[in-house]
Amino acid sequence: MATMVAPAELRFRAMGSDVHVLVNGPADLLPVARDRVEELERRWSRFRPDSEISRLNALAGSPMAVSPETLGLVGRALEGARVTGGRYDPTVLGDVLRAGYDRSFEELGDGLGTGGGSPLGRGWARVTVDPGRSSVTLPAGVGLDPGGIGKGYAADLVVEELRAAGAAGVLVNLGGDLRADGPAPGGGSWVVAIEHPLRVGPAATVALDRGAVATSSRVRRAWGPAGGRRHHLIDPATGSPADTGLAAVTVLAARGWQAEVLAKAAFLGGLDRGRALLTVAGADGLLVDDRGGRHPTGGFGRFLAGDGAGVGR
Amino acid sequence: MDPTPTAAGPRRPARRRHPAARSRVVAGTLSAVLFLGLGAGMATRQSSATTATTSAASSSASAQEDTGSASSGWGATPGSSSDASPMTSSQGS
Repeated sequence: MATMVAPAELRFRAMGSDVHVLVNGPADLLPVARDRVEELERRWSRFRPDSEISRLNALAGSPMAVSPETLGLVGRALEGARVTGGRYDPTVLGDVLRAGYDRSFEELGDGLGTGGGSPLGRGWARVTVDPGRSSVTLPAGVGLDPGGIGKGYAADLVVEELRAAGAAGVLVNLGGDLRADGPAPGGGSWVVAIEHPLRVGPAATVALDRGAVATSSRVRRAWGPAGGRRHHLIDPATGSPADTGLAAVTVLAARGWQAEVLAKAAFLGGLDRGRALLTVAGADGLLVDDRGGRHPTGGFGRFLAGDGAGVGR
Repeated sequence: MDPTPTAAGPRRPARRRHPAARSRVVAGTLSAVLFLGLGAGMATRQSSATTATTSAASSSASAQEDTGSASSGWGATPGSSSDASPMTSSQGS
């Protein structure tokens, strides 16, 4: 068995989330990770009027030159929409605003935003990316919300960059969307607790050598007064926060952006369709229903650490 | 193209292409299944012209993929730790 050795680690706030970076390697890579996450937040936050995403949304209808990072983000968001048949839709910004999520979550609290009048519609299939000119064109009247996939893709970028810079292994966790690559300290696996959305403690604990974990939950990022709670998981079929009988879906996939796309699409699909989606994608996951029941995919047991915490293998 | 150049951080080495092709196959299979069943309602609302445009763009995104691992498709690689304590947690976003 591998000897447990403490990693170099750093915690900070960014992208409206708790960030946790673990490095099996030089500790001086930790501030590099923080700088990179903060740089990506400046590029992608929809709450910063000068971010690339905000400017892109403001220029909808016209092409806009973007950074390679943003080009990669939009391309992956469209890929996610395509492979899920639109169940994952990165252009639900108007619906999110109309649901009241029109400011950062720290500012929103239990209140309700005033974005009810947003005229924005959806239209991921009409978004165009021109890699040759490094430009993106949003259709007029369509807005991009990169929130979830932005965290997953940011984790991907930072992990790969720190590995290239000399880290033997890295794990980057952005608010529960995490990516790991290379061995954990001591040569072991990366062990991750999947928090139960409705109870105290983990729903499961998993170990992975490489890959990503993302959780979409209607419990997190919920807002509004008691009796009128809303959450950020918008069903593109209705334009409203989804009620699918699920409280949360956690997905284990190769990359952070893939895990994020699949977690959201599986949540929106409900228990049976969600599980089928993960199986077809070659990914695994754990779906938790509104009563707290845990429903793993067929291959989820391969990832369980310890005694499996009662999750069927 | 390289999606990760940065002024703040290091650059990645050159990428291998064959895993990207494998990723595209998985994505294509998933897309076909979803178009036939799970996502039919939404998928049929996409026009063929615009889908073609998006497919071209997203193919470019797929071409950027570097799986960098022995895992196939979109799957993660299980670990072997059986009794280790969690190092971090996924609580949902």
